[in-house]
Amino acid sequence: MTQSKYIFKTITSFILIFTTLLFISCADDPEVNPDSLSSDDSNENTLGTFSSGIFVINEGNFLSDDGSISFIDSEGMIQNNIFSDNNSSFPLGDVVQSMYVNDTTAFILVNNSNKVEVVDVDEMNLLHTISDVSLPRYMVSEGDYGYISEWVSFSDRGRISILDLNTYEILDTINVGFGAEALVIRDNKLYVSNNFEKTLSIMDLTTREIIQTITVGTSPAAMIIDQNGDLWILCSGGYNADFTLANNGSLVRLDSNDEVIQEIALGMNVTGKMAANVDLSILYFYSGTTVYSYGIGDESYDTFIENTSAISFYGIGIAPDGDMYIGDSKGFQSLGSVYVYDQTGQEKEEFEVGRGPNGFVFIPD
Amino acid sequence: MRPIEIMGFGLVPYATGDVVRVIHTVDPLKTLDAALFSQAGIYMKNYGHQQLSTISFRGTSAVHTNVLWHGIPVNAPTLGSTDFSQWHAWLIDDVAIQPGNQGALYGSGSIGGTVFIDHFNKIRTNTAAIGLGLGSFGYNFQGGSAEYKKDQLQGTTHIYREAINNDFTYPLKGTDLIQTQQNAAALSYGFRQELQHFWNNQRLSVDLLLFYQHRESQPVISQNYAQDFIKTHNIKSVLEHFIDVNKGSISTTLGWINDQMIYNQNPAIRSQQITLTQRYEYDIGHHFHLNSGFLISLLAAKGSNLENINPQKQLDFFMIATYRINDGWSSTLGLRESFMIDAGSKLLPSLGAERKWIFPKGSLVSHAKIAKGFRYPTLNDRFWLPGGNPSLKPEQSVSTEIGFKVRYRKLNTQVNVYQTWAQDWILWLPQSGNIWRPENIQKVAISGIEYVLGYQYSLNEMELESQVVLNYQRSINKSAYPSQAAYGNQLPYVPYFTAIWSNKFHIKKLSIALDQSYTSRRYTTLDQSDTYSVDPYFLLDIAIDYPLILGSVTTQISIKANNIFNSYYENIQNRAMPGINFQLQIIIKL
Repeated sequence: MTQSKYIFKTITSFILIFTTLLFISCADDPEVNPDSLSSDDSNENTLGTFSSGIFVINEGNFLSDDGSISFIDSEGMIQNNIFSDNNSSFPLGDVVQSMYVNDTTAFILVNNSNKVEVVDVDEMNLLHTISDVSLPRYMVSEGDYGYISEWVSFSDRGRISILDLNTYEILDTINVGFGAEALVIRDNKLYVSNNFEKTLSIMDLTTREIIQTITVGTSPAAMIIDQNGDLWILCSGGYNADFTLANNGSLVRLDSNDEVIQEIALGMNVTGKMAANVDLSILYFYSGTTVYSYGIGDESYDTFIENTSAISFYGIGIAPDGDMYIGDSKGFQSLGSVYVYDQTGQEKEEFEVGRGPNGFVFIPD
Repeated sequence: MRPIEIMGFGLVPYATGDVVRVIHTVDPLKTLDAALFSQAGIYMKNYGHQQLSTISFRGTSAVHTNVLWHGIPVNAPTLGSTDFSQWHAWLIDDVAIQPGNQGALYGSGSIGGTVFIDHFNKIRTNTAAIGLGLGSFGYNFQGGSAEYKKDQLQGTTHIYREAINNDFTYPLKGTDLIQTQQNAAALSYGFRQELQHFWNNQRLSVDLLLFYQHRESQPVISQNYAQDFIKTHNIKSVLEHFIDVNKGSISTTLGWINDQMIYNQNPAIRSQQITLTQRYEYDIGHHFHLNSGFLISLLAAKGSNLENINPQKQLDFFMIATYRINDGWSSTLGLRESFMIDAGSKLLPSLGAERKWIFPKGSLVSHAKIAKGFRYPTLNDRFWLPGGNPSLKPEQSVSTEIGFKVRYRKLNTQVNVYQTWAQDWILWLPQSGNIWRPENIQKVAISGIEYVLGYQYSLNEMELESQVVLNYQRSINKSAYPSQAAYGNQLPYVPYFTAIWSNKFHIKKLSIALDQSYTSRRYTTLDQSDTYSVDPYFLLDIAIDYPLILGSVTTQISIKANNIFNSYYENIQNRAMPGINFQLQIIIKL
């Protein structure tokens, strides 16, 4: 054998031996379900129950997979990271957008993980993962059906997925406008704010068809039905061609006939989150670290809270006792804070929560 | 025939002092990020396996390291940083680092340190090489290179293709499941052409680098079915004229850099840079050495969020005077004035001293340095729409360090202690109207100690080369932002401690390398919250090398096994890194 043949043979043998060592993986991705959670985790179910109190939804830092849920109990004690701590340290996911509670079941919509985690409210134990959703945002339900808004993508139309609340199966999807965002049900109709547009889609819940598309303001987001049954849509406002703020945020009022009967120009851009007081007569929204209040029927709005030491308000909610809860994202540089204000706007309390607190779910006693 | 003479002084000429460490790109099939970590223990932020990789040098972030290629600053003008995974060792001759402020004569961002890549100082030979690599997760590499010289011409050509499917498996946290990584494949091509012509006392050199990368963006572990990708095209070119003059030299370098990045289906972000620099080195008598010159840079960028930006102009003047009192003592005084149109100017003095003692079997060198440093805001910081802040000031810093280097027989040891005070660091803050805007807000105090121990031991036909690198660094937030609770805490993604212990056994022609590394916990928020931190990890890699020699052909065969203990670890929070994996490399040198 010549030396060159010897080298060639040696190299080929090396390759042959080596390739047998390579990791070859062609298995399908396994699904996460309650049975697949680690069984040797001592933290499981040791934190008590969450039957009454306040859930804080912590969005987490984009692309860090560190969204979480915090819980403030009726004694004012806070527990952070309750989803992972009750589910074998399994990370909740990337961009936890919202949580919806239906009876004893909570649905946690994890936007950039394209999933909805279904947990029992009392123990936060994972019951099911809904993974055939795409950039889910918010959820509502009526009867046996849940309705999930999904952005789908930044270049496709948004959609509503109809969920069977008993089997957690997606039964149907209905296309709406771009950036399907907040959801409200009124008179057997589902209202969807299309955040990347200036429109609201209205779906008949019986026929599951879009029956009307209404033009509102720029970037419609949060919606609330007031004490008169009118629907208020908070429109965040947009940008000019040079990306400067258009300062054209607005409040749009839709009566029970789905007619726009009032528009309040806010003269600024606002965050697309809104809350109402207990008797649904005052709306609260914010920009930066200032909360504004709007009394239903008024011509204009007032400044309600100015918090100069906060960094950036990121979520708002009103508890059944009338206290206002506001999340401060702290620019995602550190853990977030939740400030509690009384009905006069005086700060009562502050909690350190997870990263990027963007919303609240109140479970009354 | 006139022999080729190499003119120039290695990578050092762009540096202001002598505290430069050479990084050996011992593995020609690795990217530069791996070499910087394994040789110097510098923490690299890898956004997944073979993904984007940025540097955290001496407790700073990626924008605080100046990167010079042939003396031309090559940090992207938009982001202000370098993706070191784009720099493949197959295309590179030399790499060196200089830790600390004012490491370079010019450029911006050398608060953490400077990385020097290549210089026209190589004598080429008439050789060629072929590189082949095969490994786990569909890894494959093909490369070719040739060096040539004839009369007064020399040059080198390198080309490679590297691909990996990256479909490794890992245990999914909190579950008993094994998950297969999706959407993490990477493909890259690179080409380099260098040519040099020498005549009389002059040299004309040109170097061209072309990179293309198409990488799927490895998602976080809970989002395993993403479809994001990044495509980058980079052209880097440099033309240099060098002339030896009486007692000195003048080098004039013109660089043109064109970068393009496409993220998903979005319009491309393009940036261009044209840089002209001239350097004059001159000996005055036997004691003074002067290094002076200037740099002019034009920076431009275009993208849907970077519209109508006038090219940014940077002008630097520098003068470094070295005074050698005798063979033992020398001191360096540096003065540098930098101007960026509409972004301010900075006068940056530096003062250094060095003392050498030579003993029969060794030497001791000590040095001390104090210097001011700075970083200009990036084009994104100033002009990104919406939010860019054209009125940002440059970040500022003052650093001091002291170090000792001891050589005794086959033992080398080096220790550096440093302290940096930095202010006006730029952070993007949320504003009213859902806009983020950068502000000069953060103060940081950085201190640390670097320790290097190198040792060689021979016994009969066996030789051991060993190196230990220990880095301890505190990078402390000294501003009460975003809350008082953040004051006094370690900055995110700065490990307190990194350690490298590498051993290479040579037994006749066979080499066995054992490389161990430890990276301590990294926090991801300014609260230093354990909940939001990334666990420490230890890695052990083993490599076996054997050369087969046939006449003038040497075939170097290497088998590598990485992460021998099959540990699950993360470099960035919730981005999986692979367990044990293997590589076969064959380098045929003609």
